[in-house]
Amino acid sequence: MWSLLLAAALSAPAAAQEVRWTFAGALQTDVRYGIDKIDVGEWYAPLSQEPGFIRNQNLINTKIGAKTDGARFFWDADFVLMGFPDTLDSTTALSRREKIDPFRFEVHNAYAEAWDLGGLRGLDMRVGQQKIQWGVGDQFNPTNNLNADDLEDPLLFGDQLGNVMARLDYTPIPSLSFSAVVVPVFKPALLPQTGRIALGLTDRIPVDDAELRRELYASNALLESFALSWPTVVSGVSPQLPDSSFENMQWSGRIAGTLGMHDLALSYYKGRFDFPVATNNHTTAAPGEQCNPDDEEDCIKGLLQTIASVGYPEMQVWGFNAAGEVNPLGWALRRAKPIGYRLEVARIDPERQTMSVTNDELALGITTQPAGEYDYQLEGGGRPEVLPTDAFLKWTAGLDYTFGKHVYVNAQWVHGMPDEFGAGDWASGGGGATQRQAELLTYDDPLVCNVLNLTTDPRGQGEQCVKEWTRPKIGDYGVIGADLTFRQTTLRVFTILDFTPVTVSTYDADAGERVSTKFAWNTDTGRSMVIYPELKHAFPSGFSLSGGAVVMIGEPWTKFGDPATGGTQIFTRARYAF
Amino acid sequence: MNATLRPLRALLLGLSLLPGLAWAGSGDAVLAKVDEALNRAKDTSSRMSAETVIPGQAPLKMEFTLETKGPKRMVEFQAPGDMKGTRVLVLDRRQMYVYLPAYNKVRRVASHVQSQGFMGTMFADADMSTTRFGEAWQADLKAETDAAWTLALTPKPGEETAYARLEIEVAKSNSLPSTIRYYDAKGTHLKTEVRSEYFCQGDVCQPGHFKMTDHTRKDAYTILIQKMDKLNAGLPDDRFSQRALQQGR
Repeated sequence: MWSLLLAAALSAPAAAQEVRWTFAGALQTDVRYGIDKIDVGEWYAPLSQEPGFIRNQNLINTKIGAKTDGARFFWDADFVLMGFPDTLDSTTALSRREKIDPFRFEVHNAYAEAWDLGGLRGLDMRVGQQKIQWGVGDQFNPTNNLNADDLEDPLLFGDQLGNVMARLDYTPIPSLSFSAVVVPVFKPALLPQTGRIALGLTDRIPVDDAELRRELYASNALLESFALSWPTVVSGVSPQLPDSSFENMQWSGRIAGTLGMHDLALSYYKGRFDFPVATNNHTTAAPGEQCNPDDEEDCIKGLLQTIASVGYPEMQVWGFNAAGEVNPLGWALRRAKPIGYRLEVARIDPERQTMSVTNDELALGITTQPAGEYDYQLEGGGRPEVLPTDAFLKWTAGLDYTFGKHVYVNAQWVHGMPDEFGAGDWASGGGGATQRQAELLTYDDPLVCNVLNLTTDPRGQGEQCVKEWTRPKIGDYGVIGADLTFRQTTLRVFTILDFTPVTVSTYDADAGERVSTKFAWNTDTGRSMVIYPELKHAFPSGFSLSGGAVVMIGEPWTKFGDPATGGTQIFTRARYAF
Repeated sequence: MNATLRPLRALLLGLSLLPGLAWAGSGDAVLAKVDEALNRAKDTSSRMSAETVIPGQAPLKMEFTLETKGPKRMVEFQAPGDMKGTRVLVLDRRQMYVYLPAYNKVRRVASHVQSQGFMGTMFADADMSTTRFGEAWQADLKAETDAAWTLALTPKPGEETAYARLEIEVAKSNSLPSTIRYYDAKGTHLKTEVRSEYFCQGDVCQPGHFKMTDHTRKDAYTILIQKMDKLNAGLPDDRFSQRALQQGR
C-alpha cells in the first residue's frame, strides 16, 4: 500500500523531470588476527578459538542514487567475499565455488522517497529497506530501536541491520519535525561469530531468582560429578521469532526540534528487544560412555543435551534526546570554546518473560528423572522470571572538545550496553543481576554437597554448594577517546572502562550463611576494559591504510573478559573510496 | 567502534566559513564599503575545488559544492572519495551539523571543532568565517593609489581575534579585497591570501580564485577555485535545514 502511495506521488512529476544519478562506493580489505587462545567447555563439548586469522574479508560497497526534484531512489549495499572456505562436509562441497569461496550481500539501504507529498511542503515519505539512525549519542543509542543491532563485526560497533519500513516525516518549519515509522517484520540482532562460545558457558543460568538459579546450577554440577557422570551441554539454540502479523508490527513516533541553541527530541517506540532472552531449556539424555583422551579415569556415561529456546520480549521505549554546546568556562576564560554535549535517555518498559525447564525422561543409571517440568518451588508457584516488568533506564551522556589543531577528545558515560536488558543497576542497587560464572564448592566432608543431598533437599544444596559471580543487569561504562590528527594521519585511541561491580557470593560454612563480596572496577576481580588504538593514514586519492588492535581485558566473568567476545585481536584495513 | 570522532571534525568545522569570504577597509569608511560589497549577494550556489601543496608531500585535492544564504552554508563533498557524500550544514557559528553517509546519520557538531582549521588546507576557520570585518576590526588607511586602498586593521578594543594585525589591499573598482596579509603580535608575517579573477553579476562580485600561502610552513599554499552556478537564485530557507541535510537535495 505504501509503495502504491509513493508511486502515485512520484509518477506524474517524475516523468517530466530530469533524473540525476549519483555513484559512490569503496573497495575494502580487512585482515584480522586473534591473539588469544580461548577454551570453553569440557573435553566432551569443547568450544575453542585458537590464535590465528579470524577475518580475511574483501568488500565492495556501492551507493547508487537517482534523484529528481521531488523524489529519490537510493541503493547502498556491500558485496562481501568472506575469505575463508565454508564448512566442507562432503566431496561435493569441494567442487562448489560458493563453498570454497563464499560470499554474501549486505543491503543497507534500498528505498524510494518522495518529498513535499501531495503538494504539502515538508511532508516526506520513505519506503523500503533502510536504516533510521535516531539518537544523539555516539554509537550508544538506547532510543534508537527501529533497526536491529549488527554486532557481527566488533569494529563496526553501533552499526545496525537494514530493514523494510515506511517512514513519514512532516517538517512544517526547518526547526521542527514530526516523524512516524512502521516496521512490518521484526529482525533479531546479528551476533558476533564468537557468540557461539557462549554455548559452552553452561554455568550462566538466566533465572532471576538467586536461590533457584543456584539450585539449578548445583543440580547440573552434581549430575556431572563422579557419582552420576552425566554432564549437561547446550546442544543448540532455538530462536522463536514473532509472527509477522499486524499485531507484531513495530512502530515509532518522534518530535524533534531546536529550542534556543539546543536540539531536543521526544520519541516513543513499541516493538521488541532484539537480543535473545531465554524462554525454555529442554533436556534429553544421550547415552554413550566416553573418556577423556588425556585422562582415562575421567569418563562420562552420556550427555544431557539441552536445547535453549530464546525469544524477543516486547518493550516500549520512551526516549529523550538533547544535544548542543555549553561554555562553562566562558565567563572566566575568554579563549575557552564551548564544549559539545549530548544526552540520550530511554525509559524502557519490558514485557514480563518467564522461563521453563523441561526434560524428556532421563534414565541416568542409579536414578531416573521422569519426563516433565522442573519443580521450581517458587513462592506463589509459576515459572521463574528471567525478565520482570519493572521499568528501567538506559542512557548516554557525552562531552567532546577540540584542543588546538590536532587533538579531539570525546567522553561518554554509558548506562546500559545494547545487549543489556532488565531492571537492576549499580546506582539503584536494586533489581536483578546476571550470573556470569558459577562453580561447585568443595568441602572436607564429601557428603556436604553430593547427589544424595540434592535429591532430598535440592534448594539447600544450591545455597551451600555454589559459588557464583554476578553483576547488575545494566552496567555502567566510561568511554573516552581521542583523535590525534596530523595532516592526513590520525592516531585514534579510545577505551571503554567498565565501572560495574562484580559480586562474588559463596557459602560461609562457619557462619552457616551465604556471604557476598562486591568487587569494584579497580580490583583484579572487577577490572574490565577495552583499549582500542588505531593508526590511519589517508592518501589524497581516497586510498587509506589503517591498523590497530582491540584489546580485551578482564576475567572471564566480566563484560570484556568474557570468552564470547573473542578476545584480543589486531587488524589491518586497506580502503579505496570513490 | 568508530566513536564518531572521525574525519568529521576536521571537515565540518571550517566550513562554516567558506562562502562569503571577504574583508577590507580604508579607514573605517573604506572598511564599511568592503563589508557592504562582500555581503551583497542574498544567496549563492557554487562549485569549489581546492588544492593544497605542502613542500615534499603529495598535493591534497578536494571538490565540493557550496550554497550560502546569509550566514548559512550547505556543503557537500564530491572528492576525495572517502569524503564523498558527506554534507555539512552551518546555520551559524554555534550550530553546525554533519551528515555522514557511512552512518546514515545527522550529527550535531560543536563549534570547538573549528580549531582544527579547514580540512588540512592553509585556511583557518577565522580566515574563512569573517563576513564583516568591521564587527571586530578597526581600520587605518595606510596607502592609496589610483587603483587601490591599503588598510591596516587592528582589533577593536575588547575583541578577541585570531591575528594581531591584518593588511588588506582593496580594489577601488569593486571595493573588494585583492590581498590580505596576516600578522601575529610580534609582527611576523604569517600568511598571505590573494583573491583574484572576480566575476560579477549585476553589482554582486565574487572571487573565482583564492590562494592562501602560509609563510610559517615553507610557503605551503592552498588554491581554492570557485565556479559560481547561481547567484541570488532565491534559495528557500528550508534548503538550510536538517531535513535537507539528511535528504541531500
